[in-house]
Amino acid sequence: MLKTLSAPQDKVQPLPRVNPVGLLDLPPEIRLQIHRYYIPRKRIVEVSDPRFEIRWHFEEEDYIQDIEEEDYIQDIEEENYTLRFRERHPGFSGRSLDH
Amino acid sequence: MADLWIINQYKNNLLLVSKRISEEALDILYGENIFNLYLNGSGEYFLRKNFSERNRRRMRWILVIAQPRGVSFEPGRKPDDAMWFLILPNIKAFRLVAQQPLQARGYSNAPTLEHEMVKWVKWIEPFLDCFGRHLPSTAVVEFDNDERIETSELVKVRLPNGYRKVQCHLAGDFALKRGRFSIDSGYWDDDPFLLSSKEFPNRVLRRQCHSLFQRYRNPIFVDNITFRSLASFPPYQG
Repeated sequence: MLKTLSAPQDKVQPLPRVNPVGLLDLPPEIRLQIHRYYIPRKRIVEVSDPRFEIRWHFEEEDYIQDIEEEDYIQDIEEENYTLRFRERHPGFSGRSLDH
Repeated sequence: MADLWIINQYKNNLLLVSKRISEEALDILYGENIFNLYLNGSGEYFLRKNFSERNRRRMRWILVIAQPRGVSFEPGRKPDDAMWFLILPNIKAFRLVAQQPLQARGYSNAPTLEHEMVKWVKWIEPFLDCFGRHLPSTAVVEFDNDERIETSELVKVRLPNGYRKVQCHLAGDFALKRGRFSIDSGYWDDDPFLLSSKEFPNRVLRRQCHSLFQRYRNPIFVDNITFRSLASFPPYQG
């Protein structure tokens, strides 16, 4: 390798060309595994309205939890904002900030 | 039909790559999802309308719900035998959730419970016949009717290859108002989450309402445990 790199430019042998491997060149088992990764699976599909916009069922609880956490963070931020506002404006006693 | 599957056409173009890839992808798309239909509603109609014959043949998991109401709940109604003949022989798992009438309706001159039962039997019998005729012995057939004797007896006779009694949490709990969807659970009470969050200054209450709202949007969903049990069907033993 070093020899090749240190050789003069005009004497360098080009590397053998390898045809790129496409999806269709892969064995069918591997291709199916790849498809499974991309295609929605294990979901309930209503035949009256067949689509996959439903949430991934395993994420049902997680999703709610995420929303709650966001909500919680937002609440904390609001509280912090209230505290900061009161620090800056000690004379202010507006009730609107309590919510 | 392909358009209906594609949520975002710029992200889900796998079906459009080539004929070969499309065939493989469709086998997964139809063969590894559960198709849910209401027999008493327009389930059969939508199965015909929304899916091509070729794709219907690809289906492997079917969840059928039958209730004593709806546009297709007419005694003597004939099932679409030709359509089921194409779908059912390829099925891996077939689950039927049947809710027989439990009480007479409340309005004046309403038919008695006996009348309702006769109507129910007349309606569901042809469907059970059809399923029993076309379901292969290799398919896992599951049945949930909340342990009601009358329909169980019917099913015993009409599904000669046998079946397994289950408690379906996918759709059965919701249809039969059981478990987390029972009357006592509060799920069927007035919907508090339709009110704005301003009317719920209490954070905890607001979150509960949000959770309810999420459930309301997708009343039928698979939970982890249920699907695992569904996915790992043991080999059928008649």
